[in-house]
Amino acid sequence: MRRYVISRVLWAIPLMLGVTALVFVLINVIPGSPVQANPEAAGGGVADAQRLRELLGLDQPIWTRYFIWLGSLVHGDFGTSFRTHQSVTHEIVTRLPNTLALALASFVVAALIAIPMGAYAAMRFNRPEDRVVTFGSIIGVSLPTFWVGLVFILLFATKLHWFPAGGDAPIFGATLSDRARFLVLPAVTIAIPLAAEWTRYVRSRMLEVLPSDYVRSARAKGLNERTVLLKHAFRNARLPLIQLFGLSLPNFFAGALMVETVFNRSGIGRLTYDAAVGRDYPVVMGCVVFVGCLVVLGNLLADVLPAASAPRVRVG
Amino acid sequence: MESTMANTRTRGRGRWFRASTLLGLIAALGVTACGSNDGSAGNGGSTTAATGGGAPVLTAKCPGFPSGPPAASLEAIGNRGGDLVEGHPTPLETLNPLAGGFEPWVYSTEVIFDKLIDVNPNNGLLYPVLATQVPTPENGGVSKDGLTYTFKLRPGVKWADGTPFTAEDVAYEYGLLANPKTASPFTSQVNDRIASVTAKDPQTVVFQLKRVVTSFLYQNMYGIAPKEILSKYSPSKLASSPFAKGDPAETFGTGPFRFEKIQGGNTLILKKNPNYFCGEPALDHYVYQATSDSTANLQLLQSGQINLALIATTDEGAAKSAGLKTFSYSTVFSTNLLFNLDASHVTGDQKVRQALMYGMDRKEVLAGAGGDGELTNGLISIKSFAHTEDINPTYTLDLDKAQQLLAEAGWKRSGNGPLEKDGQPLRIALWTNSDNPTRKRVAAVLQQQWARLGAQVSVNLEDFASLGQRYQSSGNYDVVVLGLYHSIDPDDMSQFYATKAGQNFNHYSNPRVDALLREGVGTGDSAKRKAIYTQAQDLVAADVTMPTLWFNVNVRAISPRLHNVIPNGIALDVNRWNAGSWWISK
Repeated sequence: MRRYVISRVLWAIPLMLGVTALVFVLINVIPGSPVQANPEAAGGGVADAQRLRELLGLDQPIWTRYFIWLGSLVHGDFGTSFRTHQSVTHEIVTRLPNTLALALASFVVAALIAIPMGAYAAMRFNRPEDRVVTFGSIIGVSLPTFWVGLVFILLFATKLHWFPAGGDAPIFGATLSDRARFLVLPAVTIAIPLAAEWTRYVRSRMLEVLPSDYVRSARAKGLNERTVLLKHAFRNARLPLIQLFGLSLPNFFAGALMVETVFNRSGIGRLTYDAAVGRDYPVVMGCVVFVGCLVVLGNLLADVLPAASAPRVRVG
Repeated sequence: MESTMANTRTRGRGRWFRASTLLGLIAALGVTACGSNDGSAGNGGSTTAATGGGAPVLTAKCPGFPSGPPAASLEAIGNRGGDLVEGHPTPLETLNPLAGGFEPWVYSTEVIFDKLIDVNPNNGLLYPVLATQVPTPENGGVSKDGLTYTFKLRPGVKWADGTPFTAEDVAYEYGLLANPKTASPFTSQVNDRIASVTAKDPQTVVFQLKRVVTSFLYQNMYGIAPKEILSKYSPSKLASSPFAKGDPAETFGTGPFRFEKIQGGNTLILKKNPNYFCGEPALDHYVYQATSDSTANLQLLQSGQINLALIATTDEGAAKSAGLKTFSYSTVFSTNLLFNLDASHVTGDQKVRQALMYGMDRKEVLAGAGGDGELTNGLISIKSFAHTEDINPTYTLDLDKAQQLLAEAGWKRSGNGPLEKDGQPLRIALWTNSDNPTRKRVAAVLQQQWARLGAQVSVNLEDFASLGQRYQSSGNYDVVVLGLYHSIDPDDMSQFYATKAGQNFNHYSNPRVDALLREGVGTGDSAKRKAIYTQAQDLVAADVTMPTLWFNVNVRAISPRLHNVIPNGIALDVNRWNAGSWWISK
């Protein structure tokens, strides 16, 4: 097991090198520069822009810059933002708690919707209830996140005033419950497509498990339906689900990219978006490495967690 | 690498805890206006305070501050305390006033750092802020040869930390601006114009110019930061210093607010500066919250989470019906067409460019763009004394003339087909930035209008940074719809239309225009200057290089609880000129 984990982590190194080189090339190939003469702002002609680019080292060839960046990264230095001049680590770490809270909240919401709905649909297989759930999940997967977010804001914030229209928390004197209130709409927005996807997995897994002998035996023993479902059927259905959760880990951050922008939250997603638009290369690269590591971690968890959860699953 | 990542994360987390306990502070240029009852207060400081709310008006302490209709309509402060949150479209950037210019982040430093003199939002004229008067030849502030400017500094002004503001501070900052190692976009202009800035005595600072530049007072005034802080860092380290990143102990000026902290990476919190020379500001905090767009701003305004923001002109009705106050005002931002003048492009032919101008119905373009704007024939800001609509030639819709010009240029129709020359159809590649809905609509309307002339116009969209690269480097375009930012002094034309000027993106060059622009900036008399610039505009209009379609109109929406906000578009950064006298009712 340990050897397996170590080898997976080592394999991640060439993978991450490839990803970073590719992204570094891509972002530099896109036209535009963090400093260019901007006719829509005061001061700053072409000559000044050129001088500032040299001060930032942007006059160096792309591979030189990549290896300088890589060299710093090996020393744990992600570089400095061109815009704020803060270290990239600082930029990511100040926003991480917000994005983690959002990811966790949307995970909980998605799981709370998906597991009961999927199980319920499986029990009512081919009946109208099942069809409603299945149809609902198709809609859930199809709704674009940014649209759902805007509709939620219009309905629950500007019309009904149940939740705030955006932001992280009240700017002064925010309590934990304030923060939770600000989290509800964005978390549900991210959770909807995930919940819809997971519902279908839960349903199909339960459909595989429900006709099996041990479920029939459990029923024959006279156990109540709840115990049959939770202790016997679901326990056997959950392993692929744990894998699915692991593989969904990067989705929370991808969802954050859209949702944090729509809801004006600060976080990794918004940071990545702003950095890409502003050609803040060090921040973009920092975010790519961060999310890249999450993908590797998510895949690893997807492999390792089922083993931890059920000893009969062996890896390696 | 995985283990390196883990280490970094652990270290980073520790840093986050430190950062979350970090407090800082900033203040910005806040100019407090006069509250005289008759609105006729002059510059003498004998203004009587309005007594509406019973609280003292700040004006009396600030003699010489602008007066006139908007300032006269300011209310006395009716309530102290409370926090203002402004929705702000760009993410936070540096707080270093020496680095502003490429991005409109200067908004956030406006209420922290004061300038020596600034532009009066009422009338576009200059008024003294940190100086006691605007230097003129009459008051002895400008030497006879026009090369020496002497500023007397306002006595008793203190930095937010309580130390006195002196001429040394001004001289030191201009020295930094002139140093190429300081990462400032203003350096080449400062070096081009200013020979030296010296502190003659603690209350007197003398600017020695290299040549007569009449626009100097409008274009080369920057927010002043304390020498005590700036001199802690070498010029090359200033951009990454705590001062520039935001540090409560360092990021302050003489303005009404100073840096307190940055929260969650997208909220900048400024707190009031009790030492502000116009009196303690009414608001406790001035907060900038990064928001994504006009829709978000409107939602946040309606839910009361922000009090002030710029919204799209098309959202003005919605804002009003939601009970918000709105201000609509024309700005110094214009919408322009940039023509490729290179002979390898169809637009390289002056007659084609003129034909396209005659083939365009500007009113329809403006209406189609859905945005408000003030149409103009000229190239100089509507707010400038030198502005005129009397330009020759002016381009109004005239399809016959357009066809005739195209025919003269060799473009002929064969039957009902498109215009052709040497067997090639008249193809025009029109570009603009995809993130600007107004410009996209401008491009779409132009496509239809120029199609009437027989041109095949393709509309191409890309993001702002890529578009900038296209028209500044690759030159791979025929026409670009773009925006320009103007200074209200007519010398503004020099940066766009003089040979090899910084923002002369299509390398336009006309020696007669160059000569006129040089003459204009060296002439003192306003009427003579206006005549010179009108002549220059005539020449540029005939050449058709980067014509202005209109000056944009901005709409600012504010919460009805917020008082004394008088937005105006006279410069990039004067919407908060009187932030020290803003207040929020209970």
